[in-house]
Amino acid sequence: MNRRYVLKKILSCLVVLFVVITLNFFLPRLVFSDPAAPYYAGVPEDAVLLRQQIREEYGFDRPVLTQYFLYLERIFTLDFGVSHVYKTPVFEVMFSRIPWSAALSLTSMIISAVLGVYFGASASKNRGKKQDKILLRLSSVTTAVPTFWVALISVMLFAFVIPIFPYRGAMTAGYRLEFNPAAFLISAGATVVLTAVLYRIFKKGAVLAAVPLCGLFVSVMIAVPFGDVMDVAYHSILPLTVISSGGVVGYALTVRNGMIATVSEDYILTARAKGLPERKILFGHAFRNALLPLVTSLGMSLAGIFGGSVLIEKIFSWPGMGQLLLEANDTGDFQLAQAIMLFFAILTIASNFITDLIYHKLDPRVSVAGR
Amino acid sequence: MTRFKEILKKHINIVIAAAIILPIVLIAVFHDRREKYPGALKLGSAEIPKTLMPYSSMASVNTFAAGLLYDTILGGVQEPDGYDGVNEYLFEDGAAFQPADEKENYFKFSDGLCETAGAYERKEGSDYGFITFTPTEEQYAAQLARKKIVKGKDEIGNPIAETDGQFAVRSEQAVPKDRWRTYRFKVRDGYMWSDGKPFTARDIEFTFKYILKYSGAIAGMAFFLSNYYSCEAESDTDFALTLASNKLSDIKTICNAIMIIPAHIWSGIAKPAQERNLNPVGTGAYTVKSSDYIEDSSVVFTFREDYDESLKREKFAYEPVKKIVLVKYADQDVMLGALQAGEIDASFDAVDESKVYAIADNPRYNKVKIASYESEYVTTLAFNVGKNGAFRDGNFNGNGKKIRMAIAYAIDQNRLIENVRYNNASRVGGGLVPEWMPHALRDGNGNYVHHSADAEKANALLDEAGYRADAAGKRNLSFSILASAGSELLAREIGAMVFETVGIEIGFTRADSQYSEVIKQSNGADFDMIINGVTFETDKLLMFDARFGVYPNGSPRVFNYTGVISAELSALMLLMDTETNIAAQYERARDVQRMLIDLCLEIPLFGAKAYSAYTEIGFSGWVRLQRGGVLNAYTYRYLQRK
Repeated sequence: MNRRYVLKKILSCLVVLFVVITLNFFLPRLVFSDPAAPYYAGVPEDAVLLRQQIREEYGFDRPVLTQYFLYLERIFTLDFGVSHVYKTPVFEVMFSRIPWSAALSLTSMIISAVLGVYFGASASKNRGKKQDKILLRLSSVTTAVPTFWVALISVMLFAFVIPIFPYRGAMTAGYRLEFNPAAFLISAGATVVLTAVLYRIFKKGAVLAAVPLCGLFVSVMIAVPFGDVMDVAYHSILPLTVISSGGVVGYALTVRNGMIATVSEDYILTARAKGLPERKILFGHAFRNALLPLVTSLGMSLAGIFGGSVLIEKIFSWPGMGQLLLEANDTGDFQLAQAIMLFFAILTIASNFITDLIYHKLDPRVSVAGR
Repeated sequence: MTRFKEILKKHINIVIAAAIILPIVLIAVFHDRREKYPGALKLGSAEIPKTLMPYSSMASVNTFAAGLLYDTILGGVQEPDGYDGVNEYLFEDGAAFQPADEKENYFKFSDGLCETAGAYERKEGSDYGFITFTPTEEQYAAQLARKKIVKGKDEIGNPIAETDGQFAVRSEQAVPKDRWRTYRFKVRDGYMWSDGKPFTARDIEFTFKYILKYSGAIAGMAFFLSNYYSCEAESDTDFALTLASNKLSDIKTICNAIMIIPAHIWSGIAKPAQERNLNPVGTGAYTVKSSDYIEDSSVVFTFREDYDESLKREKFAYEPVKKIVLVKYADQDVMLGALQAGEIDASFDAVDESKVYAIADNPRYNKVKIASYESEYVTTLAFNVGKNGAFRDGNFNGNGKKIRMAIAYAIDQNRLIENVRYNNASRVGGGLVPEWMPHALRDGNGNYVHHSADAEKANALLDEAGYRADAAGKRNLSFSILASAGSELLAREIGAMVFETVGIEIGFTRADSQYSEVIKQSNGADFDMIINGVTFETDKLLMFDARFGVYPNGSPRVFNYTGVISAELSALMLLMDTETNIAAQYERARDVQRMLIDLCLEIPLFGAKAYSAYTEIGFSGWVRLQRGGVLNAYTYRYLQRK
């Protein structure tokens, strides 16, 4: 990989990150005439002294620049402050929510990508036929109908009218997920080792995707009691179906269009003229190039894996990051909101960076153009 | 093998469909989690308390949790719906509702930790028996110092220029120089902390000192103690509370609002701002095990097995509900579905009017019962008379008030209620007070005074102000209403109505979230008018800001956030604020109302109705409160499992 290209990308990411951190600090202060305003709940305006004590308690009495430098210092030591609503360090609050969002989003992304690639490839192969037409019509529907509406209807239909799925939450009310972090870490470590060994033996890219995924699944099964896994799985069927339904069609359409554009290229004609089998032409030549837009879509979704979906999480009362952001905004918990926004920004920057690298790997012309 | 591959290839779509559906079916069939708390009272709530710290937040879900876990010095008594103030009201166990009698006992009935009877009886010709005294110089100086009232410096230490006379006025306003009061209380029998330790008067003394020590961290509570001077426990059962105040109502605030916490637990907590209190120790009838608190999912309140039998008989008519489960339903549509299905017994939160409209007479929701009640929230249209406001003094050649009044006369409450609220609202009286309030204004015939529309008067006022209508009926005046997106319909209806009636153009400006906070605090915003709200509480008379609607006290407070400068209004407000006789205080409040009507700073639009939803699938015996929902102290007293 071109080192200069990577360094340039890293540098631009750092600049963007610095701008984001700065905006993240100053924007709330522009919105509120007094940044301590959300902390005054229940304290009247004429209670000047009490308000002053609150400002001192949370450090709002210091000059803005001093606050800014303290904020920078805290970020680099991963100290995002204490949420005044949860009374807990912001980092801990976020950390407890990330796995829930990740579980939902990662699973739906995998389902969407696998099915999307299959249906997209199949539609491109059968262009103009029934399968292709269904996909095109479905894409109109999924684009026009908002996901949160589908979510509401699905709850009403499958929890209320035909009561086969639960109404809310990630687990049955009153149950807490029992998680054994030591078992998880040991299993995850073993997965890393196994992936490296298998990749060395087989030298296939598929190993890098399949083994970690299987390892993750096994690690979860080892670290979480089976009853809890089943309970979470049961509660996640509806949200997963809703989120994935839109994703499958989206990815399928991307793959279909990419494949159609690629198979009409000259080099595919050459491959056919050489007498290569159709399967090899499709997956050995066309698919790699048709994959580029899919990589972009998947890369952009990476940020959403941990970020969650605000509305879906709200409807299903799913305890993820999306809902946390919504609550932080509603309660004026801007230490928490700031940290979440920063986290989302870092994820987006990181996913863009990873997408660029994968793009570069798949299509070396990218780095040449980027010079 | 080849044959198998061929079959697989041929039926690949069926295989994929099976691969998707089969795991779903298997999970749905074989998951073995069933309801964890059968028989519990389950309440759906959009929010689960983030902490069980009793002073962490004024949010209703937090005060609900704190109310189950902790007690206050005197508690409070509310009137059940159906009690008319004249006839006896009987609960379903035959017990009669005991209304408060302030003439005999200012503190009303006590269902809290302490009693005044035995400590102080009302004496003939005295102020209910408590000691009224003039503070010594030292006491007065100490209180001034605590409030940081220092000559030449403001409350936060900034230098200010003031004369001796000005300082005297400022300090007298902060701390009165006479009629301080000492109240004595006695701890009632039976109360114990949930960890088995005895509850004593020393815990009460500790609570006050703790709140003041950490007033920055628990400012919401510390504000209630702004006129507190001292609390001294004389023994394990008796204590004296001294207030640097000549307002009788201050004592109620303290006795009804401050949750008493155990000294043996909290003396070791030095950072209350970071305390989650997930293993709470309180005197309340319920407790929470830390394993029963699941963040942002559910919290289970369990009836204490060690709860005193005599208190149990006093507070519960039947066998108490053993477990109360608060379950998170972030979306209200989903929550209403769960209610119909019997998954929960009641909605903790008030239900949106649009949802009520959707489920009323809907057979799919035939098990959901809706209780409507007059809420204490009045929607208003406020004029900006601040320094940058369209209606500031001097604008319109001094005719701003006439224009405000003309707009007020052009607005028809009935039309707004019909067109914007689909008849789900009530009319509001003069001075922004709903007519069901005991202090609402009445005319000479005893009828309630409403804000009423009068096109003729409106047009005459504008003509007088020099803004005459052109041939098309249009006047050379245009304004904008700043409101949230949710109030756009209301703002546009007002605009249409005013234009039709007097020819003034009124547009709509969409406000960002938190706009009212910004406007009120900066008091320098340049908008024309806003859709605003006023919260009333029966004991509170007037409250100009919804944020303070949680004070469970009887103190009339008026905050002039509109920025209007009126010496007369200020004088009336001061009179109302310092009046110690309750009946006279109501009269002073009415004087303020009349003045407000005259200033025409804010026009009442309608009084909102609120709705609570519940079912009788699992429990019977719901008791509604006057101007309140079905979740209240009586609910826990009378609910019975079916």
